[in-house]
Amino acid sequence: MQSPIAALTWEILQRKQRWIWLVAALIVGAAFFNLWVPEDIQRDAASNRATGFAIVVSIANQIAIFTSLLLILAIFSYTELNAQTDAYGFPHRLFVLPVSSLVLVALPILLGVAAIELVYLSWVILAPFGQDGTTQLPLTTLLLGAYMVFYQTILWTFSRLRTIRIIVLGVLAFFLMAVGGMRSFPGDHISDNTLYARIAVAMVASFVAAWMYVTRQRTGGGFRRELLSAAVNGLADRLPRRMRDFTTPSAAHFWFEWRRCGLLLPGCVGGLLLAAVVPLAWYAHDDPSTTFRIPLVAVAMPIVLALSVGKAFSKPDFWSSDLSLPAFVAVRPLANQEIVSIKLKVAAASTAVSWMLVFAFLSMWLPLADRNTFSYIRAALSPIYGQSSYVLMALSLAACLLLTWRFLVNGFWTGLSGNQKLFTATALPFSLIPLELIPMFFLLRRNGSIRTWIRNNPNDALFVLECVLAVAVIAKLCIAFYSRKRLRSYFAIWIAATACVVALAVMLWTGARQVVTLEVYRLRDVLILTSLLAIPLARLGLAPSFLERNRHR
Amino acid sequence: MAEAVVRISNLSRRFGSKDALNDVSLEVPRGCVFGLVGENGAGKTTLIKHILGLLRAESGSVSIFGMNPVADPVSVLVRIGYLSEQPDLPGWMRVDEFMRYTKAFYPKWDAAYAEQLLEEFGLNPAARIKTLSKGQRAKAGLLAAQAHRPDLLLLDEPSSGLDPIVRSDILAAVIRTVAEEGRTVFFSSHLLEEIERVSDHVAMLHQGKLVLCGPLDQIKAQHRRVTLRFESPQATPPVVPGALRVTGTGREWTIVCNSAQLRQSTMAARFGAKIVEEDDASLNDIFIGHAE
Repeated sequence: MQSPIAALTWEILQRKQRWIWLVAALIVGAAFFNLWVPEDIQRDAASNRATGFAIVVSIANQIAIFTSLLLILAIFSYTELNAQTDAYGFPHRLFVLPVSSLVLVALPILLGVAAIELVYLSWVILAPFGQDGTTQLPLTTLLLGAYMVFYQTILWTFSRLRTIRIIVLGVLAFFLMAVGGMRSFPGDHISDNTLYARIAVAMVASFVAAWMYVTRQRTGGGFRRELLSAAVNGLADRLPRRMRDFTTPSAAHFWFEWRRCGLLLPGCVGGLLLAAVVPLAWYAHDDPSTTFRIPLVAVAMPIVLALSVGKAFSKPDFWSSDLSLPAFVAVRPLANQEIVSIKLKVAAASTAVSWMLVFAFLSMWLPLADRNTFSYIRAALSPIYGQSSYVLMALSLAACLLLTWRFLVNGFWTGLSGNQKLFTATALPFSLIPLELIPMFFLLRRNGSIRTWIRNNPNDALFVLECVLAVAVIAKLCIAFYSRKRLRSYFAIWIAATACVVALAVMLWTGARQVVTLEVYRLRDVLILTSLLAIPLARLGLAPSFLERNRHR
Repeated sequence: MAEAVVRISNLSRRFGSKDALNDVSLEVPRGCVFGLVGENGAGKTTLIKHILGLLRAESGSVSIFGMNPVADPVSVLVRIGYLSEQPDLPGWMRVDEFMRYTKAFYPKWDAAYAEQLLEEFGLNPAARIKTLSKGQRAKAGLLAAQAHRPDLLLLDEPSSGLDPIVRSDILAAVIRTVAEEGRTVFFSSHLLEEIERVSDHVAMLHQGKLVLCGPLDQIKAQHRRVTLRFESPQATPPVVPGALRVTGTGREWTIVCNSAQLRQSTMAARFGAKIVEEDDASLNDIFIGHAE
């Protein structure tokens, strides 16, 4: 190789060579598939009124497009583990090469942008695209390029956020999709040129930020970072800390887990409350239309955050991408069952503290809120539940707490297993939500056959749902029976928690039966079966044995 | 022979197509300092992980204090103090927090001894572990491994990459552990002079196989280092049956060999050479001889 640029380009492409072949295979495969499909079906597939085989063609193409774009993002996630920070960021080994920082940063970004544009334009030529797809071509290509620039900048500059970067990138992807999608809707929009200019400015700003960050990293991190870490350390030094001995190994390890990952959920909840919900509540405290939204957002926040935090929470080390049990923990004389049990307790404490913050906020906000809104709710509930309305509210709040805890502990069996493939496979349904929405959208679209069938035969649909749930409950109980020895101490907790959720389901059914036209007893069974699935049992029973395999490989 | 603290029988382990350990059998007697040597990738860390129960024996068996470390990790680990090459200590903890945390797991934790070590090692209790130097981190790890006075002190290349002062501190701690308390120390190292200085038993791994195992004195007595001077320069090394290593040029050649297999004078006469120097082979000579 004659130049450093050629050598770096070769290295970037070489490290994910298999995935590049996979993208090429997807595009070539789809090209042959679309050549085989008759033109009229392709026209139907490109339209919004696709039926029959055209739906299959459309879904197959959409999935292939999304998969190839995701693969391109994976190929250009140009990061490596930095041993000093224990996080994946810009490869520090490149800093000693006789190449300017500008080249080091610009090359992967430009290659990434070129690759994503090339792949997308290939699809525009090869796959059936509707009118919307072709008229929005300039905007879509610009947005894809912009996302690639933002993506690499976030991966490098926010390396210390580790897995939380996925959330940031997901939110950004949805935002850019919204920017692209909003223009299809009628209404006033800014001109195309203004929008393009704004996106271009954001791209340049993002590139400059990445360049400056890498340049600073190359010279040891810079003065500002030292100031920041000194300030954080100074603050941490002033906080009260534990000075007493631990009475038991479990207490010591609880403290360790709490410090490592337990504080994160309360921290996120508290941070969001202070940064977003409190200012919003203060700003709109005399606006009746927001009265109901504020507590709804506050209550939903721990649950939604637990859903995203839970995946990393289930790993042996929250902040590490390595799923094996850290040697520091593995050599402690602590049984596997005990390690799982401590993680469950930390999740419970984390949930409790998060909800205490929410309750504290609500107790301060409620006196300021518009009471009339609550009168409407009380008026709606009283005829159905009477004095039991308060029980319903208490059960709902308990269910919210349990749901938060569930999302934190649900993945223990995969996270603690140390099996990267299993862990990734169980994460895929969440990370590929946009991909899953495509077939769902087509299957349940207005006037589609499945939606029509559900509308015409609601009780049959309910029966199908009931059967699926019944099978899931039986499977759950069978697996729980298999790991019954490990569940002995947890079983009482599961019974109590499930009883609470079942009681809520029955109360909700009591109200719903008065307004729905479905077979009411079947509806009750569906609700009870769903609540039997709500609290994890079988998966938690498997967690200690999966951890055992991880600890003693 | 004293009762064995570690008993490994026919242990084999594969990682993909590579034999990390191949039919390894050894016993570590109580109260000895057992040195494990081997080149990079020889299987030293794999063997230590089996002792800790972090790896499950694929074939063969591992018994520590008569127990299986995989089946009963708590009973085994509570009697072991472990320090690895790069102590995997949580950087966010302070030294005193780390001591309190570790103390909770070991009923036999000796607080006075821990304080003494803290002072000897010059560690600041309020310092965060991530701010410590590599040597200080190793000392913190050694403190945690030693303060509960373990029956077995397990050190995996503890002084690799450390300066001579820290290395000497670690060796002093090992020696003290044995001299004062009669406990067992099992440690692996690249630094053969370290092993030679403190070990009384040595095992040598080469490409996953145990090539040598026994008391150090016995092993050293079995190997000789002989320098021969020839009358005329030799273009190629002399072919000596049983020689582990032949080095030199021209008229002078040095041979490391198993003394039992060789009678030096006969050998010298046969080659028409004269013995100009004869000595016990150093552990370094023996190691290189077996590894080549």
